[in-house]
Amino acid sequence: MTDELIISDLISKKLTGSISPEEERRLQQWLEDPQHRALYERIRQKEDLGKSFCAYMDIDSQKDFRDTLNRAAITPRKNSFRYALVAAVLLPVLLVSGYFVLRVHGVVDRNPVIAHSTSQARLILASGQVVDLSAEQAPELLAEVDAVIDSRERGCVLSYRNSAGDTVSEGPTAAAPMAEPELHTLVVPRGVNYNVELSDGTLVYLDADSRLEYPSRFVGDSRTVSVSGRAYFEVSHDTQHPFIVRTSGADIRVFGTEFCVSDNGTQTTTTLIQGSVGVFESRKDVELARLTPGQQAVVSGGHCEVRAVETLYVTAWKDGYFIFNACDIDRIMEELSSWYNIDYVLEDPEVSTHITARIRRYDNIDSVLDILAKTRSVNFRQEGRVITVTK
Amino acid sequence: MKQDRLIRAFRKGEEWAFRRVYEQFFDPLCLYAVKYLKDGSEAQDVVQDVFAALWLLHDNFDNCHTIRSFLYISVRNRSINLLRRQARTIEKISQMQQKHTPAEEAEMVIEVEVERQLLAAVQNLPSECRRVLMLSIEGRSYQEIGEMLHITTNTVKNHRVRAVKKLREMFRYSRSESELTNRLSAKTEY
Repeated sequence: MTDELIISDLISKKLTGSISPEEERRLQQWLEDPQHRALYERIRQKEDLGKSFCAYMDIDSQKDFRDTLNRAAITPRKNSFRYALVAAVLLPVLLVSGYFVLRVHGVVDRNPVIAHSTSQARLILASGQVVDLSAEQAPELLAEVDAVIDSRERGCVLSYRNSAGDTVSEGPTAAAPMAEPELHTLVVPRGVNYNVELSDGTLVYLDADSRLEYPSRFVGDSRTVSVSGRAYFEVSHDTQHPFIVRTSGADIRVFGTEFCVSDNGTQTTTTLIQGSVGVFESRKDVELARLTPGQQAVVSGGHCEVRAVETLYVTAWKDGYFIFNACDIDRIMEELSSWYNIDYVLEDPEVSTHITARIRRYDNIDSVLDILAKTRSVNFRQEGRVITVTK
Repeated sequence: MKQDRLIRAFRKGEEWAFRRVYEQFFDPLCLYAVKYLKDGSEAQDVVQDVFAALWLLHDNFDNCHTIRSFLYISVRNRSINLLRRQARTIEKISQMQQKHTPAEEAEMVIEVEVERQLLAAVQNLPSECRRVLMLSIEGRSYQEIGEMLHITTNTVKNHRVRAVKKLREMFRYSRSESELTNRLSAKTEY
């Protein structure tokens, strides 16, 4: 078996042009056998390499991953797996053949299934290097900056927790002085969300279409991060080192608490769930508001307005739900567009339905639109990734 | 070095490392098992069982190549065993009779593994690089590719150079394979 695998390595390297002269010689030797040559040509000419690539990307292996862990624990045999199993194996076949059909007829698929996708969050290091957190090499690259991707109940967490202590027997690095903290930026695109655990243990849930800038390790008097988009913070308690969240319009100072910040570039909304936070004018020492749990401060152009809110609606996204409470369709579509990465058009801008609904976020958009269509008199038309809202 | 970290985490039983391996190999191994079993759901069952075994034995592996060998060997053995068991029931006998020659068996592995590596490598390239690379793997010239993608031959060349540079980094770790002995024989897998 090892022989076959070595040959596979050589062929892959050959086809991608990354083979060394020494390896080239060994491959040529192997290719002297006409049967081997035939196999090589067959692989090389495989028209559908590019297509099976697309197919692979679309299989949902994640689902079965849990099953495997469970199986390792008890090894139950269930026939109910079978449906999922058949689907996962057939899917690439269907996608590949579908691609061919479309290609042959020159038709572009106008209505792909719009599902929310996971893990294409990117981390930008101080050096400017961009790490795709879903890429195979991500854990190794992250190791160099003392971060790990941890799979937890709530999904993946990029964690810097251990960079403060825990230097157990990691060879020469353990003895070396701790590296200077670097400024990292986590960029979460539309259609995805991601969580970070900072070096002080503070947990940040970042929603789709958001970014967070933070040091890989906190040093100095305060813990400062910058956010745009929407984030939920669970700040670890440390009165000695105030935690400061910078947004385009305000600074928020906290001492260990839970709150949600959203910032769209012109308006910063801070909602306090637990504890106490002060909202300050951006980069100044002027306190605009001091919030108590259940209050929301909206800062826009230096002007601050405080109101009481039902925090459930503000934080639902973090728990995987859309909750709309008498919302305009406009607001709802805005929310959907950042999660499913779609664009939308309101056919009749006067549509003034107020919709109240609680919908799971992970379903594909069809089910969400179905549910919305059932609530009141809105309908949807889908063309590609554009959803038109009709009456 | 980076592979070292993965393997260390794997031996310690850290879930991310197992997930990494699982993501890399699950789909290719299913395709491999299907070649024997001709049945998607059985294939996936076999592969899941193999991963379960891998997870239980995690502290026995000290490099990525032994993991890879283990996976392929186990999937093959389990597939053949399953066929044998099924052959005792009459309807599967005909299937058993079409046995594979050693050469065919080798081809089955190589085909799957090469495809897996190419796809993994290509996935991590920027999209322009990726397109250029796929086309050049199909054997097209720089000029042809340039015409197809409406870019200059020079740009094609640049993309190709960038792609190859990245791929070299990715493939570097597999170079030492020849120096490694295959510690796992077919018998020691359980």
